[in-house]
Amino acid sequence: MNKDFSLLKGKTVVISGFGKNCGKTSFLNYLLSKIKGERGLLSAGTDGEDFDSLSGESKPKIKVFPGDIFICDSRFSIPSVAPKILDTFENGRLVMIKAQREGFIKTAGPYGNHKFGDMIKSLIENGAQTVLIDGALDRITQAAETNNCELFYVVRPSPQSLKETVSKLKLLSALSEAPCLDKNKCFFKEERDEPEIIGGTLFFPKALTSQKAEKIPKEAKKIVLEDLTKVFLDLSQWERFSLSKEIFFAKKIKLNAFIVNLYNISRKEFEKEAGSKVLAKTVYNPYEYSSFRRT
Amino acid sequence: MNILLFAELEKTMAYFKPLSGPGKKAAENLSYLCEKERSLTVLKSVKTAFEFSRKKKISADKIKYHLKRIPLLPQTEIFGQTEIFLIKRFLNNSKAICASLTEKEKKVFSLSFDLQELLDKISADSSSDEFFISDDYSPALAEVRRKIKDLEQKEKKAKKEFYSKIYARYGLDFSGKDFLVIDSDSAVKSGDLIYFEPHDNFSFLAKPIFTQELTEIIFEKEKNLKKEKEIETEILQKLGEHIKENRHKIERLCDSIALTDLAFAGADMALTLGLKEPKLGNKRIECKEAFFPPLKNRLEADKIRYTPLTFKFDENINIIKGSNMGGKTVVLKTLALCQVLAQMGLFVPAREYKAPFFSSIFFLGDKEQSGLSSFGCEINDLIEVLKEKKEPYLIFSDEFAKTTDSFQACALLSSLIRFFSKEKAYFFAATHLSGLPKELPAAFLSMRGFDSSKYSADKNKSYLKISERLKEINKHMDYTLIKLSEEKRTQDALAVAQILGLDGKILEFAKEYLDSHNKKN
Repeated sequence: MNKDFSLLKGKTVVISGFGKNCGKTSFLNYLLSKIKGERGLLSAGTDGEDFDSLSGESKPKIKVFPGDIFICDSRFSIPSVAPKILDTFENGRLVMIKAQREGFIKTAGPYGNHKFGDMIKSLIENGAQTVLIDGALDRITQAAETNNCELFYVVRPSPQSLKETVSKLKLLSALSEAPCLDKNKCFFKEERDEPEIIGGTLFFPKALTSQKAEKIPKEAKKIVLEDLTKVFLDLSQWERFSLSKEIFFAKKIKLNAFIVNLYNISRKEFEKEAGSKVLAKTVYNPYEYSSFRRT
Repeated sequence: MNILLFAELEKTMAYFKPLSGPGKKAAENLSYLCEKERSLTVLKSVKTAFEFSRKKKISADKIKYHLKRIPLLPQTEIFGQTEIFLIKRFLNNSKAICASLTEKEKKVFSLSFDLQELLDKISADSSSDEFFISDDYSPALAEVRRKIKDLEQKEKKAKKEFYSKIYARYGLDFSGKDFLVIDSDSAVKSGDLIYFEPHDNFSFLAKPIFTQELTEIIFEKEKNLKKEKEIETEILQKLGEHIKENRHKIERLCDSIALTDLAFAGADMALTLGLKEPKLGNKRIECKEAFFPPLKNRLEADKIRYTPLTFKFDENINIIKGSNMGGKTVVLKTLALCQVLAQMGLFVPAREYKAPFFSSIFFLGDKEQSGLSSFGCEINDLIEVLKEKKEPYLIFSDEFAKTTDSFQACALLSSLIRFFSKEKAYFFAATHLSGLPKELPAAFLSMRGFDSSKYSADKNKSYLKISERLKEINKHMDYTLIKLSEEKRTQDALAVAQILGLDGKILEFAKEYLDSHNKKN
């Protein structure tokens, strides 16, 4: 599948991934070369990656250009991009910087999920046209608040991880197809621990785990979850759970594409396992030179 | 139990929202003040902020906007770019706040801005809140940055030519990419402009080998970037020295900003909750329409009426009796909250509140202590309070000695009353104990209580939920505090238990017991 990534301008883009060193940062750099205008960058959590899977070298830094705004950790040296400090967060631990010269940076992000939305808002207020988040899937709920959020999920299937990776992709693909229900959305804005039935629909706060899923009464046929990041089931558990129920999400997170960086397996092997729905969302490693590779 | 916990101060203070870093920090450990003058100074600032917020709404919003932008100052001796940014932002917004206030108002908040010279020094880039180490700080910095810019141009040009060459020779397009993944079956396998390394069983990684000219440009740029960093560090050190020279002025301004912020937060809380200015220094405690916000808000949300407290306490020692669920504890909590807030220098939840100023305020409760029973904890708490008290002091107790036998509890409470009456002390005790001696030096007060004549015990009310039962109690309960000429025995507990849904059989046995007891007496 060929994609015009320049169309992401103006959106909030989340790049998440399955497994360490799956190539998120390399893909982020690739996107940065395609999306024009001022970009805002931050990360959701630090994953401690030191080496990149694709280049095999120490983890690539992110290349920024004049006008780009990013969040970095002030405890480390501020990058040499003629930095203009625009704001600070968490008592100065995080700094929002506008690059006035091109250079390489390392992004950082807030500890808590709840500050994520404020930080995205602040990046936009300070001039970022597109916000790109290098981050963990379970941290993107706040990003979804922007109503303009697009998710890229990066994987690096190898012969050992192929089945597990594809299963994860199938689950995400199924979750992304669940419809969105706007009604009573405010239920999720309040701190709640217990599910509640409103107008015959069960509103389920927080994470849906297999244990919690078992406790949901059988007669509950219509269930609303906050968003797809709140589902902590595997593919078979999700299939069983959703079999006799209508599942909705209060917040839509648009799954844009799976970025598939094959490692020691051919496209044919991957495609045989993946199935049509996953393939429809698949974009192969953009650093691959020939399109006919491994067929 | 701590008086602040008893007064549920945290729930009311949830409406107290300082906006600035210094304000938030100062609010972390807020408690009632023991020095009258300090308390009155804070109260004056809250009153000023209250009037300002009411009369100059736009200016108040402007002040809040700037307060919100004021960060917590860095606690460091080393000033990097982030620290100087924080100082600049602090000074810029403090200056704007000063400009929004009259001389008289600034005096109340102890605000004055005498750091313009420092602000100018750290604002070479611009007068905005942002901070950039401007070229204006040093000709050497301007020169090195010019060189970096030139080298960047050269690098771009050289890379463009280099990548075109690679493309022409191998057909590989590296634009926007540092490397490419090349199929191992590909025709391109070696070359003098690129090198290959194995990636996986199917592919190689291809990376460009920069020319000598390009490598030299990159090295030269790196050298200049290092030089730039050195000059920037020198500039930051100099600016840091200026900041250190003004440290005392900055700290003073920071304290004043915290006071201003707390005053505006207090004013906002007062406007939101309908609080009024208290009068401290009165001989007696008097209140008109005092209320306890946590309960009032909850009742109003459930559409249940709330009875405010209006009372003039003529005596220092007050014994409050009354029905179960009749409002005795709420009276104590209301008074405790009003007094604590007043001594914090804040407005209070009452149309009028007059009271003395106390050097210490306590709640006598069963502060948990491992190894002690409830009674043991209570006595231990009393011992501690007696050690800590400073005259004049105020003490609240709710069902003191409730876990020991009523005869000895009466003896203990009576002796406490006698003891406190000989000190500069104000004591409020809610109790169910009957049999306290009439001649005690105390005012006997009571909640008016349950109106059993109006309550019809309907057997069919068993379907009611607990919230509906509470509404039922509320409907028949008079929460007015009244004076009693002598000690009164209240016998509303059974009626309350009935509304709450206690088994009828048990209630009947209890009534039989009371009847026979009343006949005997």
